[in-house]
Amino acid sequence: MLTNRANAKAAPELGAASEPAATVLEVRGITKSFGDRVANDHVDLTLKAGEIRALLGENGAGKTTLISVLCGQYFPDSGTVAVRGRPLAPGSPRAALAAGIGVVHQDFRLVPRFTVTENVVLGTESWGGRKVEQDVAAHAAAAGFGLDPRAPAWSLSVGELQQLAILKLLYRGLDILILDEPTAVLSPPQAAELFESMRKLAGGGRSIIFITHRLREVIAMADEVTILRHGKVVADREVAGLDALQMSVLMIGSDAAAQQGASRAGTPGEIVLKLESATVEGRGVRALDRVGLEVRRGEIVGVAGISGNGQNALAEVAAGILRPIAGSRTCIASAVAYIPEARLERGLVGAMSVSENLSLRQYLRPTMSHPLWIWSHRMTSLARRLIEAFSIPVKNPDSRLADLSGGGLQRVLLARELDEQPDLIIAAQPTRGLDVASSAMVRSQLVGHRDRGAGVVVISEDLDEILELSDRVLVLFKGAVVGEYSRGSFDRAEIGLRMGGEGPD
Amino acid sequence: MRIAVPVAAVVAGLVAGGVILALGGHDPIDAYNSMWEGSLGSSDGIEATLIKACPLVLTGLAVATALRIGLWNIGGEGQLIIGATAATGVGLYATSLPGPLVLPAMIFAGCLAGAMWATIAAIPRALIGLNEIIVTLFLNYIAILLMDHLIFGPWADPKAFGFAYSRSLPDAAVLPVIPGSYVHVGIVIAVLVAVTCWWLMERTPWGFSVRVAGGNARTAEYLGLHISRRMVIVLALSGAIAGLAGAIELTGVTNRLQDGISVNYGYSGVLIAFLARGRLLGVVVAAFLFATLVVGSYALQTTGVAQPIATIIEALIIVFLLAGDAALAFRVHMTRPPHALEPATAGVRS
Repeated sequence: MLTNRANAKAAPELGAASEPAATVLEVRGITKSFGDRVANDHVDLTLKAGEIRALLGENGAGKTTLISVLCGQYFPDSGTVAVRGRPLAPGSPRAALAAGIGVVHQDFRLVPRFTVTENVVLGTESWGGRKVEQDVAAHAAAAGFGLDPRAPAWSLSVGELQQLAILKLLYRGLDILILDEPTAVLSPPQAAELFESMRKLAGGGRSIIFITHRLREVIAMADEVTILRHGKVVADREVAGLDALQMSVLMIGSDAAAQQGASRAGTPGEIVLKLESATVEGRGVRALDRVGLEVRRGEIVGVAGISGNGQNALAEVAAGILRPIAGSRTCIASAVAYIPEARLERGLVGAMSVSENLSLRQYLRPTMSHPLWIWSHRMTSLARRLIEAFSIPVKNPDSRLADLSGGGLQRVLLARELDEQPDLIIAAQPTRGLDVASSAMVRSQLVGHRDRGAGVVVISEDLDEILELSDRVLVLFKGAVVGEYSRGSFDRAEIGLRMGGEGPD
Repeated sequence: MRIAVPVAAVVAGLVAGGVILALGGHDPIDAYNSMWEGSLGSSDGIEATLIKACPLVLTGLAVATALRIGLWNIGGEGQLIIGATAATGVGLYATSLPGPLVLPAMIFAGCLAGAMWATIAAIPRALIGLNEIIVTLFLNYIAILLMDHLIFGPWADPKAFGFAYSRSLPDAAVLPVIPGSYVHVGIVIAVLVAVTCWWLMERTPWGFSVRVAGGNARTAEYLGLHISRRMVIVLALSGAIAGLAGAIELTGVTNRLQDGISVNYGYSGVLIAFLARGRLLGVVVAAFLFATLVVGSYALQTTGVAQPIATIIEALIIVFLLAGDAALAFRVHMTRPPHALEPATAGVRS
């Protein structure tokens, strides 16, 4: 399969710079819509042998749709894909595999009970055995993966699982590798290791597309970058010569870029929430380890950290839903708003209507109900007011909540939680999965309520967001607070290191 | 579509049933004529349908009510039987009660017994998450055996020559009929119960909180609602409705406890709730439809069609209705794929 080893850019030591790399993948005019929403609008993309191309864009920009078209999962409305000059049958995962296109999904799609070898051969005609194990081990070694072919997948770390998912593609001889947000789940050292493997693979002639929304990774890793915004290609060029600011302007548009760091400082007042060495344990794991947290009126406390480091437990303890096994929580807020990370699972009821969901906090009020009767028209008028105020994308308040998009769900949740003018707001990953407009609305709402005098806790994986909004920043790692910074002394590099469990000391 | 699909389903069921009738040597047109005459086509038929609909409305409501909090009460059968048994106990032994109080006391006993029977399943479900489907189902067998023990033993009618009958109930224990008909007032009670359940679940704040708990337990927890308490109350209510069905069937139809007091009413309730898509008022409509089929199938048997064939026809229509309901969830698109090159080799290379 490794037909093209001439790759000047990624492997200059081969000294084959004179020969231009061949085009392996050519995407022309791909358009794909879902109902009224155009997810991909005449998208073009070319990929050369040995090239690492970043596909950059915000959530909802159309990255995932594009790769779903490439791997045959979606049937495009129009446009063509050609692999080495041969047209690829659209909408056929088998054809995509046969042409050499493989995807590593964010969730890896592996079988935990199977061994490394079994996971690798799953879907091929082989069923394992000593020879296959050796073969798998050889492929792993060639890619620089230290995977034990007999280890069960459940015993692997996240980084190793990712290696296994990549190995699965290599074993099949696929040479166009698409990685969907590969670093989202990795710690910085694991990400560095992944980047090293990617370079090695590209040096061996394979071509890689990786999806990301982290600008640094694009600069560090990619030869070329394709930037998508609202389903359209807004840039398709070499990375060399681009800086992070230019890319962010292209990715989120100039208006949003101008807002970076624009939020004003708050004026902290009395303490509304105080956690003292709060500890939470579940299934033998210490989710929160003696965490102290003070939130004052009129300030936003940002909690940075890679997800899975106790954010969920912290949010639920702060919101007063989860009781810590040790330590204390003091809260003087009369109304607490909680915007949970898992919106549909934790904060909403999918089978009920939008207006019922908007009334969940207020249905017991005398203005809304009597023990024997709910005034449903008052529920509807509350709903109409909130739909208007928060631009919830729904026409009829009685339509089912589950039919809303992610941004719509978050608007419903925000509208309901903030309508009571709470003294304390706990927002967990408040902009995850939202488009630019919704994210901007969420942020301005949080800042607005802080200015009104609410204490706000923002827990987010998005460091840019934390740095933009917060008056103080805490870093959470393995359930413990490992760093605290106040506005004016944010050190991005140091916070990043602490998020990965390392410190400058 | 919401009208056309069920109608088409009934027609399809009748056509398929017609094939079976023809194979069995019957004229399908004659057969369906007698089904119609026996159910909705005559005043006797309508009366029989209304009498049959009463327990079905109630058992359907029992299931649909429990569904409001996300529980499946498969124990309507047992709760109905235990309700009838408790009502019989009151009717046979509370002889010192003044006449006008006998019926209310029996009906109250039936509801209470049904509620308690369901609570046996509700408490372990609420406390440790023990599956309510299994427990309510197994409680059915216990209820049947308990009833059998009583009607073959202590309550057996000495004049029944060994048939599984209890002694007859006193005259004060007979449910009155709707004036001018043979239909007992049970159907009126059943419809009132349906409206009450609808009001309770859809129009009160407490019902609202139950629906939140049933729709998403984690959100209910987030709002600080006591889910387990609501589970027990709702399942007890569900059991009480099924127990009421038992007491009404006893006082309105059989007038003594007997084997077969329930013709699978409890299980039919599950189907009816399903046909009504869990909607409380929809249950009334679905139960009437179901009762029409059951009564029509009885009428079919009187014309010489074997009972299994009549039951098959009844079942066919229900299967088509359920299939039609499932089909409503889909929308069919006819598209022609653009000219696509099939991959020459689709195998996996390594």
